[in-house]
Amino acid sequence: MTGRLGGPNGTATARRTVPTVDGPEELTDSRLNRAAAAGRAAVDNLEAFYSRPIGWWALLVTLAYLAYGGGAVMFWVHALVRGEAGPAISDLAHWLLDSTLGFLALGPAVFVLLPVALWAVRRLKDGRIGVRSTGFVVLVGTVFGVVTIPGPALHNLLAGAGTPLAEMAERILGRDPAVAARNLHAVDHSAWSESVVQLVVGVPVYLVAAALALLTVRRAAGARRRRLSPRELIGRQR
Amino acid sequence: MKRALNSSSSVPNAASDEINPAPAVAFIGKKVLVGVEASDDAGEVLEAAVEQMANEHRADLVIVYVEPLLDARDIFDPQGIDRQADPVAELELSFPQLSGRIRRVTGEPVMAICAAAAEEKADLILIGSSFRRRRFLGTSGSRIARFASCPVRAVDEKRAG
Repeated sequence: MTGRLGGPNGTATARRTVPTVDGPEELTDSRLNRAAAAGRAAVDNLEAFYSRPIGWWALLVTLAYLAYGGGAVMFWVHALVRGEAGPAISDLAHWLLDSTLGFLALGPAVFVLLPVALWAVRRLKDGRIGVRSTGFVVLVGTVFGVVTIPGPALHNLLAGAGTPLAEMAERILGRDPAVAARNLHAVDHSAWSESVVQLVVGVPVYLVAAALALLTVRRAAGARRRRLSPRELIGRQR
Repeated sequence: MKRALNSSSSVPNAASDEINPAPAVAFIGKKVLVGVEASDDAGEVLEAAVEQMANEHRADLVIVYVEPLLDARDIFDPQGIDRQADPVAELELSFPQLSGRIRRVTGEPVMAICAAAAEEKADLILIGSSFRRRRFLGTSGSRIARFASCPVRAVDEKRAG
């Protein structure tokens, strides 16, 4: 659509034709227009995805699975299997604390990631729902795994054993003597090693978490549909 | 289900800040574009408005049904989409005497409706109350009013009820 849509004072246009590039000014104008149109389209897509409650539910459930479910496995790998040191608080409190921080910190990333992944899989030539679902899960799990690569290194830097944050956590949540004793035998790993483990272990874990989240939302949506009467269903789906 | 169109409210427009309730004769032979969003929950109000505009005001109606760019149900509830009744077909069934056209477009609702209004040279745009809900960048209704080339009227579900 390239037609001019008269707005206030006749200046507003809906979408402008990209002008022929003749000089620096028009080039800039053209690039600005394209950038503005691309930005507008991105916001429109986000708005469209979250225009239905199921978009928000999908965000919450996916974040919960990734942060708390995936976080539990990664906590087990880093703290218990590899023996990395952390604050001397109980394992349950440690997992809850780390997962909640991950839930909040990575919320914005997943908020954008879900619509982007849907946008990407809608461009697949194969429109079968199984193919799209697999593509969606692979995208969400992989991108989330990659985004969390610096997580362990940042965790050790900010909240590793002996840091002010770790001491504050011990004061607030209580010191666990068993964990404190375990910390005495903690193994120091390089940031590089921890990042590799986060990627190699994290991506498969987050793939499973993303798949479980997708199945959970689908089952919940199906159960809700069965509860609604046909009349309510039509009214809500409009 | 009939509700008076006079109970609807107007979205401020550059051309006319407030649309006064117009007498029926004002719309005879005029082209009225009715914008319906896929997530529009003001369907009944819009249906009433369509009925009144078409039957009583004898306006030339163009109903634009806008489907969203991205629908979370595509991936999270695909069966929900499959089982959904076609709202366009429903409108056609509800108004067999409708002397207008129904257009189905996919895209961002504001620009899709404004573009359709410009193409159709509409005299009035009628939108549902869901367009008045605030989103990330303001209400869709206010943005339609900003970009539209004709007056815009939002049918207020609560006031119409």
